[in-house]
Amino acid sequence: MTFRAVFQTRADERMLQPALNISVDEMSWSIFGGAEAAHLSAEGHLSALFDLANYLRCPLTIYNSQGMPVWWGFLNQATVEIGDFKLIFSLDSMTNKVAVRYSYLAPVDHKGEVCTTAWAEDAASQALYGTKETILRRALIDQGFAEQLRDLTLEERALPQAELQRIAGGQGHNRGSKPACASLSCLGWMHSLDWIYYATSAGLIANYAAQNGTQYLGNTYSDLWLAESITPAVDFAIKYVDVRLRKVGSPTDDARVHIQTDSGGNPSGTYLGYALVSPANISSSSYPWLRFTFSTPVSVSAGTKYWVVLQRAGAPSTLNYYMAGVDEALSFAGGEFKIYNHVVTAWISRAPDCDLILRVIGMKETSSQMEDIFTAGNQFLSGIQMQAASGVDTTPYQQGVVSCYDELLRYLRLGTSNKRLLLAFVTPDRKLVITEQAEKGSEDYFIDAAGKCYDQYHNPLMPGITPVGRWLRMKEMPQPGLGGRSQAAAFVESAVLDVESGRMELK
Amino acid sequence: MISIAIGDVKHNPDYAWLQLQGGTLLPGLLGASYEPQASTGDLVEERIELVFKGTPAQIASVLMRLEDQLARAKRYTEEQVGCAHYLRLKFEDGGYYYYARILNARLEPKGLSLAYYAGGSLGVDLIFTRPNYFDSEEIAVPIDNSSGSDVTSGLTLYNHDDGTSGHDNYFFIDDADIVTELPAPLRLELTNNYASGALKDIMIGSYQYNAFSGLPALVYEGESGTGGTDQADANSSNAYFRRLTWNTVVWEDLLYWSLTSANITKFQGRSVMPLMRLANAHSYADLQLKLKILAGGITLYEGASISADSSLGYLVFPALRLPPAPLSGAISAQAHALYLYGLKTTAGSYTLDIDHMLLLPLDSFSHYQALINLAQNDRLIDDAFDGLVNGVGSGLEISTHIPLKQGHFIRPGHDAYFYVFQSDGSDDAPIERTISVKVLYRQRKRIV
Repeated sequence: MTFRAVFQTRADERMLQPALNISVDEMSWSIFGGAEAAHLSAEGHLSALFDLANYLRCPLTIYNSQGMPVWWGFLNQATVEIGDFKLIFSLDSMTNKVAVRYSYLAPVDHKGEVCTTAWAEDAASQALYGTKETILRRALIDQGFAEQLRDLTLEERALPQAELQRIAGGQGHNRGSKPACASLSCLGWMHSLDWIYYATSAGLIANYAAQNGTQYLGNTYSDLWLAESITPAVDFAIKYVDVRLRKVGSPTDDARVHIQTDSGGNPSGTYLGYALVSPANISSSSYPWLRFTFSTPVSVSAGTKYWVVLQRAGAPSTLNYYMAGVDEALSFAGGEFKIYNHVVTAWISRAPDCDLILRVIGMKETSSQMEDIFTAGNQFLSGIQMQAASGVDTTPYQQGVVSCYDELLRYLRLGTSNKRLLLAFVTPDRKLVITEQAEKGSEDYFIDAAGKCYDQYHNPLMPGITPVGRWLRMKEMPQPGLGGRSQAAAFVESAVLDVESGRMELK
Repeated sequence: MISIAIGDVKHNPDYAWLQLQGGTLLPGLLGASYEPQASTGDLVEERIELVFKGTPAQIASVLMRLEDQLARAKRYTEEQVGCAHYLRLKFEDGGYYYYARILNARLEPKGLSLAYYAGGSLGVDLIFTRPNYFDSEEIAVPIDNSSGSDVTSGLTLYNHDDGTSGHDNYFFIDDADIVTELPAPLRLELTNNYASGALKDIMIGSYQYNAFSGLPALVYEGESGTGGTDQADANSSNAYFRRLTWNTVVWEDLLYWSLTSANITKFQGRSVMPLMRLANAHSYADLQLKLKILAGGITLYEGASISADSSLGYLVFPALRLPPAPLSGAISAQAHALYLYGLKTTAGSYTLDIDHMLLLPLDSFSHYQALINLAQNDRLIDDAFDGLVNGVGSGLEISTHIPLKQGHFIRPGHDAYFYVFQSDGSDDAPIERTISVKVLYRQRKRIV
């Protein structure tokens, strides 16, 4: 098997190839991105070998002997071996946008407040390689420490640094007479989504403060309705509202939550949706979280003020009523609390002021979330194509402590409502295509006893083409329809091709 | 062996070669003895026994020349600095010189060399590694198409192949014109002789066959398919293209071409790369296409889908085998059909104008991706002998193209058709583009 690797410039233009003998040693593919990793060797003039450091993040396409692209990604690391030493130039440690997430100094037995510095960025490095974010984590430091750590890290790591290592077993083993060489490690494009952290406030608005006060609901006409305002930072659809609520006595009317628009700083009375909970399902002791579920999620828009209005469906009663847990420490900066006093027919502020303890939770189909994640993290791909809707809804909220790559993988592994995985492949024109795992028995590929793979029509696969993302059957086993059914099929999640031996390891 | 020398073919006058046996030897060098060794591998290590007789200064001078040549040979192998060095042999008067690349070499003194050296003589072994074959000097290959026969000075190829005389995108090599024991390396010289636009990417594929096979049809006009409607167009091959329109949002079979029993039988399992020229570029960002091969209505092959890049005037499909699975060949194969499927993901009507499909044969193949487009009269040279691909403009050479799998070889006893696909600076493939092709080869043999 012969393969040819061709570099492009970081601007995706053709370029003169390195003046080196470059051979492809190993390629791998995965259901989570397609082209996964590739390892190449280079021999030639020392200056050309060292020049490989200048190819980091350059796109690389590997073609088979028939001119078909079979692997594509970017150069992530170049290791030049000379004598007993190797010099490693890598993008792994490079970062050009740094923040520090830390817990602030605190007395013994106390938890420090969790803070995050502003980002510090190196524009020159970003222009060269793209943006690569790093969030460092530290405990019990102050702001000055965190900012100095951030700035020093950025200064040290904004460009790939050379790491010098002695080759294992190299001491006393003089490689000096051997020609210098280099090994190249490349990553598939999906890994470029690992460069950006993913954060979204969509799907969660919450006041998690400790309960510090209680508030009558429907005890009299002066506390008929309670309301807390919210202003979403991004568009989402509210599926649940959780509040801390108990009943007193034996109310027979439902507790109710409205999502209302704002009118002059008060709930407008126009509700976008509502949810009910029967008193039978409401505790009469303590203040447990009580969930209101909207049968039709309520869409809310970023930057628009809305009101979560807590009500009882029936008339007030001083014997049978509800009580809500509130936060008189006013921990919730995102809203204000009001009470509707039917005696004066007006929304009034509470004295002392408080915030409702609440969670406003949105849900979004994971396939749609994946598009959001891709948009947030993409720098080098040409687009995303969702070929399957997942049918699975989750809360999209993410604090920003995991990368877009990890977040995508989380949803790919979560799969679809059909109980199948979602698969991701980056095409040669660098489009991320997400599709549903095929049903077992539908277009399965084959493998023979010698390890040779065939497509669903029993045609041998071309060099460098793998059965990744396919169900695979032994050619020698009975096939579906002939009494074999589907037990003998295995799903291929990844493949590693050793080019020299032609052997392909399947997982 | 009447002549043994080492040197490089770039500086080829005879005086530039260091003669080891035969011809004019340097003072101090008495001669050399060489017995080629048999090897089953790709490389072979051999020795040439050198005999020196002369003054110490004369012997030292020859040794210095030798060491210099060997160091340069080694440096080119390891660093690609300078140029390749060769062992040059001649076996008979009037015969060709044969060359074997010296990949690595060293000199080793024979036993008792110090004692002999003091007496004015010396025995030294030149130990070297070479590829396991020898190549002759370059020989011009007469090539044919309907523009001319047995042309060695440059044969015109168009960028399409239809019924008009001269409109051929291939050249033919007759096996009777090639004398070689092993597949012979070719030197292809392509000159852009088209006045209206630079030559960008080039793809060349060959179909090589002997008496047990034959050339199948490799060009399929859009209008010879089933599906769509014909449109007259002077800028399309055969003066027509086939217009396909559809509006579904699922995979739709748009067109198919019949692959007759006679044709499919001739392929014998060879691979081809389908290249589809569009009469008019489309403007769809979400169009996907794929090919299927059916026989008797049953799908036998389904290729991976490609995104139909709207910036290209042609589309390249994944290579496929014909027929898709091995057959015995004892009897003729059944007829097959090549189906084109399209998928658009957004609602609306789509139109695709198909000029023709070239099934580029892959018995040998190269795709030259342009870094610098070739202006009129610029040349691209692919020399399989030295493994280099270079452009030549105004008599000066430069790297103009990135070759994917460079180097073409012709098998002994095989006729060969070489098909050439050209694109221009706008990534279109106008049918009226022309190039002029010259071909040279070197006889290759393992045993001398």
